Amino acid sequence: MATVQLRAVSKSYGSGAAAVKSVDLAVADGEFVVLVGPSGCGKSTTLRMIAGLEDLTDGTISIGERVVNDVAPKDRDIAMVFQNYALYPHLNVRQNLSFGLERRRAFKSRWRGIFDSSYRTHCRAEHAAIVTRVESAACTLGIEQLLHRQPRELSGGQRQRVAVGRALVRDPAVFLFDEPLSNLDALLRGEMRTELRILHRALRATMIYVTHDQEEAMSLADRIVVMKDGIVQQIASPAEIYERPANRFVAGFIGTPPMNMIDGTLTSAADGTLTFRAACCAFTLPGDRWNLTGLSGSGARAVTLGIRPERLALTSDQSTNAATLTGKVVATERYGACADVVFVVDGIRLISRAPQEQTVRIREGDTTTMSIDLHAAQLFDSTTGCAIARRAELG
Amino acid sequence: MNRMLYRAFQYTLLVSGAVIMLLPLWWMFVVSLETPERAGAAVGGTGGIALWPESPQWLNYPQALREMGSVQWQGFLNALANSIVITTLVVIGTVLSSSLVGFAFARIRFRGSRTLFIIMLGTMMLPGQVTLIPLFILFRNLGWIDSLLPLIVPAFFGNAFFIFMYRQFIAQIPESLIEAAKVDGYTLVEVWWKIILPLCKPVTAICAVFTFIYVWNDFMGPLVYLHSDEQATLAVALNSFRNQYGGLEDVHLLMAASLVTMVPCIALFVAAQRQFIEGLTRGAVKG
Repeated sequence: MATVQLRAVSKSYGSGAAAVKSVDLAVADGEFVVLVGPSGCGKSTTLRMIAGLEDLTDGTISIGERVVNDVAPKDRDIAMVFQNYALYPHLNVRQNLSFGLERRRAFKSRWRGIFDSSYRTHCRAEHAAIVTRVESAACTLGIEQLLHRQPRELSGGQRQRVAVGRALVRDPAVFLFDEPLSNLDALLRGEMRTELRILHRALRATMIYVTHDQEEAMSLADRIVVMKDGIVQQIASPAEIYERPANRFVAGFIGTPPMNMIDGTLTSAADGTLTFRAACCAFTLPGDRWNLTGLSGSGARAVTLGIRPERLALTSDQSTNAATLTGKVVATERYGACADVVFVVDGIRLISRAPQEQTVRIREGDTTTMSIDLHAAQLFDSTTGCAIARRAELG
Repeated sequence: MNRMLYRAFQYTLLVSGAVIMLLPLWWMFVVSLETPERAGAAVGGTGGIALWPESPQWLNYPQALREMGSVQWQGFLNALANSIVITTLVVIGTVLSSSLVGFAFARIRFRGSRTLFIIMLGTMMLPGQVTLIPLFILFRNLGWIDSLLPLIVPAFFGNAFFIFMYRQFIAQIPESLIEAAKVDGYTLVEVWWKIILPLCKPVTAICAVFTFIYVWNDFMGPLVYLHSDEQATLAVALNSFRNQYGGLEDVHLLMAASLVTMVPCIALFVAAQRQFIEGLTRGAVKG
């Protein structure tokens, strides 16, 4: 196993378009890091640069102690699982699994084996070792009964397992996954996600995983790297990314449904009280929570208040309260255990996620009141989009 | 009912087409089994054409092959051996070189590859006769005249049409297969040998069958470069045979010898038919 370190890694193409801009990332030994972002954000390019399938324009990549910028993919001690599995169609599962190991054999000349008995002994021992490794990997992934099959005879999930198995037999220092589950249906994706997580726990291997599915990222990662337009937006644990997104993009990208955003202004009174005013509402915020350096006593600052849908609770309390919003329900989406209630307050569309039992009486067209948990609210600078840091985080 | 009628019409049309196409071949076969008199009469137009000879003369075949060349049997066996050697090596050379170059054009990015590819395609427009004399001078200076080399060696430098076919086919193979092999430790040449070539079976079948038929039947090349009887190929030997036994009285032998030279081509086509049809239709069904 090994650490992976990216220092100021950039990639631009001949046309001058930059795919990746100065990425810094340190992956610890045995860590599961997920790169996530929308299409074209540079996550796959970053992974391919780690694999050695793309050259770097700038920066350095180290695997373990070694800088690997100019090292061929085969010498980087990595294994990669591709989006379309990349199983060799003309080889059966056993041959697919042993393909990489066969290349690394020291004693593989059949002709020499005919004349040299000690060579033949080594050759047989090596072959037996490969068979053992292939069968052990197949056993780990539950595909031992598929070893004689051709890839075209396998289902999507089985192909995926073989693709992972091909990486597994190599016992590499680093596993790289390029959107490996995106070709599977939702149910199978969920199953494979759990299996990958279990596999990571068992191997304690360094894994770098690329996906555009934020749910996959949240469920698999020890740490998530959110990227946009080739730039890293935030690197943090899933909980931190969810609770304290670094900017509006991360807040909107991570979480389903996305975070509710209300544009408004923030004013600070002499006694430190903060007031948030928007077209639809006005709240007094706990003033000691945010670091508002530069905000004058009377000046108003354009900010966006972000609140996760589950922090918008349905309430029967109709009394005027600074932290409630009253709006008209335009849609309800029920998922069994919970439901999303979409309502509009003065032209602003907001979503509340609540347990199913709280929403059974709510009908489209009803007027409902929601209470906001302001302690869980996020504030973003409207101009830069960056999160306004909380005091507790500064310490 | 309409559907059945349509089917019947389709089959009638196809069967009549097939019969028309096969008729000359059948006629050759029938004439090759006739007695000299009846064969001569049939070819000369004084006799009728039978669907099957009255008394098939199967010994016409050994007689025709025995008479080919100046020494009994030797001429035929020499020509057969030469044809087999040339055809086998040319097929191997064409498949290997064309697939390798096609792979490079499809998957290796290098400066000027597009221009090179267009130039390579341009050579397809050049008739073979145009380069015949310069090539002859080149091979004469190399001392290769009256050896099999001028017919074999050029095949190892690729064939523009097959390079184009391989390139188009390889471009459809997912890049990730090649990348996976690179990560597994294989070099590009190993990737070509272990992954690309096995996956290109349908194109290889077309390339092999077309090349085989062309080289087996090629008359011009051997005629220009090979002079002695020992180096003659079947096509050249057959031509000498025609000069010797071209009269109406020996036409049955000519037909028998011609049919024997055709047999390998027909056998190969039948054997490779499935791969061949798959290769021809693949591009048409899925782009």
